[in-house]
Amino acid sequence: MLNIKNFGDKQFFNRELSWLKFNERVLEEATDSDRPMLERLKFISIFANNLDEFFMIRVAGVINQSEHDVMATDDSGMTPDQQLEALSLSAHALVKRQYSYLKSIFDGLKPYNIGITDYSELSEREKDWFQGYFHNFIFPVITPLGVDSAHPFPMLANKTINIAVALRNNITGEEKQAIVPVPGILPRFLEVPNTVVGKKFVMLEEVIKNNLGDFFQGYTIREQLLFRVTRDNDMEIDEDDTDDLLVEVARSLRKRKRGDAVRIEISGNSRRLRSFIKAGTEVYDADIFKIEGQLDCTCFFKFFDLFGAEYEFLRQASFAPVIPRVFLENENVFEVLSEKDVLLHHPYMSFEPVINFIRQASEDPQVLAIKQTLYRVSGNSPIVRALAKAAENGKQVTVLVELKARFDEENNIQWARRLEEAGCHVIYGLVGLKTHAKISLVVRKEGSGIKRYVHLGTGNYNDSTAKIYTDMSLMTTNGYLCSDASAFFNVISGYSDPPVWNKIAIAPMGMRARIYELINREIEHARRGENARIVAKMNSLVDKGIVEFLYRASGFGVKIDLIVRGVCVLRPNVKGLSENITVRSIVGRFLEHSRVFIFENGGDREVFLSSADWMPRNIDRRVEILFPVVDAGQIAEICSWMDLILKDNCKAWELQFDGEYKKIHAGRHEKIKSQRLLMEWIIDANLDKRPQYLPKIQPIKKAMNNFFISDRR
Amino acid sequence: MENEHRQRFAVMHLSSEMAVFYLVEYTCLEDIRLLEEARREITFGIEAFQNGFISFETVRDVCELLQGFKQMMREYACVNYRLVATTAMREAQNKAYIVDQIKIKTGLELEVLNISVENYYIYTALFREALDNKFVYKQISDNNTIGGVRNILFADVSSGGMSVALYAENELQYQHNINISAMRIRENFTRAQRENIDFPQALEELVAASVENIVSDLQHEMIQSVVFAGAEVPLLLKMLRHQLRSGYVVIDRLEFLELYKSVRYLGTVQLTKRFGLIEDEAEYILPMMTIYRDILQMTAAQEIIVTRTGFIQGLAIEAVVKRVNSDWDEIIQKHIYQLACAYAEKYHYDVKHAVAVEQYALKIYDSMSSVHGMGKRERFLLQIACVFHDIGKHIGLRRHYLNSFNLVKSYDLLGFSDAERAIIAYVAYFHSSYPPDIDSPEMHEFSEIHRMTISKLAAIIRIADALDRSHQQKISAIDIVVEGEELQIMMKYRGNTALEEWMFEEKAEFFEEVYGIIPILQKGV
Repeated sequence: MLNIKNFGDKQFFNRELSWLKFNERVLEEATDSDRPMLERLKFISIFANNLDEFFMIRVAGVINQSEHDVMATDDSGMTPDQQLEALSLSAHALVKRQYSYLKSIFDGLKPYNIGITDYSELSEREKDWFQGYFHNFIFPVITPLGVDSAHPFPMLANKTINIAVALRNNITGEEKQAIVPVPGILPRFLEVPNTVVGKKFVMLEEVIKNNLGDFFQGYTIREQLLFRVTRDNDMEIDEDDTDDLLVEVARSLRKRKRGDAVRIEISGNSRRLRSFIKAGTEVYDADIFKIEGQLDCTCFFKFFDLFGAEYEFLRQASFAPVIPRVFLENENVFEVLSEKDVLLHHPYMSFEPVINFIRQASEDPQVLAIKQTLYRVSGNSPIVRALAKAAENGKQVTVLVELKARFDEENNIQWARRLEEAGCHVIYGLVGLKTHAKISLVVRKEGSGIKRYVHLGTGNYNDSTAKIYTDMSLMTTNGYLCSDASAFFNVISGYSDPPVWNKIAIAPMGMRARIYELINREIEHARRGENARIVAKMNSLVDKGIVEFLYRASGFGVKIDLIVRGVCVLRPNVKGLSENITVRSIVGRFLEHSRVFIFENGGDREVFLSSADWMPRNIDRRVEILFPVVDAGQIAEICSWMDLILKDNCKAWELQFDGEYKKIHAGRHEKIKSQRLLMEWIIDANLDKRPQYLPKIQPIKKAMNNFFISDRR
Repeated sequence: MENEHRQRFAVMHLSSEMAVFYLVEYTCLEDIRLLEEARREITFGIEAFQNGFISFETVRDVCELLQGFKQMMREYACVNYRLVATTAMREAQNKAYIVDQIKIKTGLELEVLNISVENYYIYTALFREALDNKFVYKQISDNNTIGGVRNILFADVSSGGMSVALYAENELQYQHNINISAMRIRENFTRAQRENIDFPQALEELVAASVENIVSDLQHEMIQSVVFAGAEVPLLLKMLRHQLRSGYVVIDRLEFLELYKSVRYLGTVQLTKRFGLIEDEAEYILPMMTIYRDILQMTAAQEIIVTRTGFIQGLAIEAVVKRVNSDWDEIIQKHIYQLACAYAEKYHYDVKHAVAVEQYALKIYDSMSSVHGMGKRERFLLQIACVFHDIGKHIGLRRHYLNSFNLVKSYDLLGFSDAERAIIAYVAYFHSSYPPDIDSPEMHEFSEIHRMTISKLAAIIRIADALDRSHQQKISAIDIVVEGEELQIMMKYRGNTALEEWMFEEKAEFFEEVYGIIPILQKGV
């Protein structure tokens, strides 16, 4: 037996801190000088949006543990209190950095005369203009809330910006506080009119702050403070008690606005109002963030859109995903797939074939049935429309709509209802499990009998995110996979217990065992002195059991290269624990999202794709699929993509034994930016390289009279 | 289009512990393709074996599941189906109400099969698999000649009971059912008893006592292979660490016995840990393993074929056979005929007489198809009745036909429904005694059409028996023509046939009553 030294708590990193490290890498993207200014601003927004979610869910969770006096330590040996302390320290530092990057981006925009102007810097004429705007548009939609003994501090909605105001009654001298909400329905960026060159903006809240007096006749405004509240927003539904999940999710959505506050961001200076807000929202000091700049940087997503074509140079050249040649030569997805399985790598390759797959199925008279899981679908999803159409065309359509998809519930309920009205059989998720698997199945009646077509993916059926997330799709008619797909839908429809699967593994039944088996097999190869290697790419690596198996494998000499975009609790590069393991993270223009697992298997490589990260959440509490790619050509292709990603020296960060991420630099080597190169590779590979004219070789059997003559000429 | 010949058929089975959906696409018997298989646990067995009836709550759940099965049929545009239930439903006192509820709630017609028919489908599937995969043949030797036929014991162990069938010397020689199963055993002992150190021994003794008869029946047989099938197979495969969705694996006798030894004294907890089972499964392990072991030890077989093939595949084969041209029916009928003969042999029947009667009866039957209007199945019932008509003589000569009747009625001959078996028994009964009286009280259990069948077949067997009344096969051949109102039988004969002629005349009376045709015996040239 192998002796892994007892590293105790040091074996694992804390997952929350690891997550903050990921967001730090996102933030660093805002400093990439190769990137146009507006694109850099986008990363500030992504960072902010990520941090909001982090507070709403993860920090809220740890606070909850702390308040329930949980003394137990996590796998990294930290108590909830210790975690909160470390998180706060790290978050404050990051936010500080965020705003200094924001400032430097706006400094960089100055030469183009683009900027956000202080209200005080406006000319009198401009101020008059905004005053008019205030009276016409802002004033009517705001209701200030007085706070006194009769009116307690109001429950402010999650992620809203408000202005706390300290007032004094001009006659009685009585001190009073009030809260003025900054309305979310108005644009945050108000363009200063008649700017000669460039674009200047004033923030909505600044306009309100400078015209506040109108709300409080008879009072003097003594102080004011801008603040934003973030609330605990993780929802849990007790499924046992509800018959109609749909109603329950709708109800819990309303409740969600009323979670406890977990973070306050303030902008401005007022010690009095700070303690007023603190008392009113009951947040801890550590969770109050002093902001030097605009509150809620997610607003810069919108800023990006305020610039027309003349500012194209501030944006990245747009990229058109490639439609694989097979689909250009023959638009009929079924004919193409009958010839050959197709592997798609999004967003380098278009998601369009996947949409077409469902769309064509919905109209094809030979198609009998379509089955599909939907987790997060985009605003106006063509897939949902196609499914509804299919049902209207008399096809048997079964759709599993996962209502419990975080933050998207409201969206999902609408689709679910629409599909049901169209005649689809809608399954509203499974009791106790979130269905995260991405799979669709088409049953078609053909000359040679019933034929099935399956799409399996690592990402959601969401045509918008498919343009930004890197994911992989396998479209196949492989008999084993199709039979597994069919059985999978029978299981989630409640028609069948899980069978013995041909090729796939399913969470929460069996996937964990399968992963252990695959790692163990590499260990066996290593013990026999053979080449043993694992390359695994995922979004997060949090599962303690799998990490321990990886440590074991490392101990036996299995070479393990992990590409983990986000959280990673595995501690790499420690002698006696993980010296054969490397961990790197790619953060770039596209969000790395594909889950790819390559096992060397003594030279007979096996490649799996999955919807699941290596997290207990995915492996034990969600319905997920791990499926193999069986075509040798496609295996080679995926391996070459992974090799390229492992060689990235521009957008890659390597996790150190101490938990820090170190950016990999090309130095004197050739620069390798994997996302860019993949774009080029795939465009290149898709070009029609067949020669236009193939000369036919014809030997001349008989000497012709003029043969030599013509040659001489 | 080729498409036109492709048909789809769904078979659904409500067993004691599973609801099974099995949808196939076929062009002929050799080309059956499985499109969809779904299995979901149900509690029919636990309820029926414990309480004697199945709760309506369970029936409601099953109806919902059946709606799902119907949905799957729609997804494959499949309209033809067969829905059957076996042991648990058979034993449920409220089965008639359940059949009715299922019909009302789902529109599906549920047939409750008897044990003979159930085992017939199992045997059909197992034999077909054995044939397709050539385990009926001995090792194919180096120069590629087939080294003779193997003797195989097919053993189906399911939650309702077990059945064994012996295929030897190219014939189906033996088939027997016992009401013992892992589920029944589990339900019969308390948890404390099952966890007791003496449980393995008690269990071994119980199983040994139950299979005693089979052991003595098979003791002189040379059996080279055993096929393990039935609802317990998935669990057995799990123990053997084989992942198998369909088809079979071949294991060694020793491998199985080692496994048995290793689990004999393991408690539930250890079993769950070692084999990755859930607790519920673990509780079945010992009873199941003990039953399989006892079956194995009835033989000297070195090779065990563990197969997932069974009842549902048999049902599908039957459905296809009914809809395509195939000689499969005749092959299996021959096996059942062989089995009937083997059973008759147990009662030392007069083979030559039985064969003669069968030959005459079938000849008469075949020559008057336009008169009797019956089909192939009734012909087979007549044939089996001929085999059995005299077996009661072994018990006692006085009213031997009654003994024959009782022996047939109490024998679960493979492949016959209760009604068919009763028809055979009555036809055997009426071969010599008074002719049947359609209106007599004992005939009231039959439908009109079955009563007619009994009368019509009895009329034939009576004159066929008369033709060999002396049991000396004096009439070597007959030729028959139906002419006008006469059934003219020309016979080739030797010796004095006075007894046969007188008897013939006597039995002809009833024949005329049934068919309105006078049978006339003529001496040939």
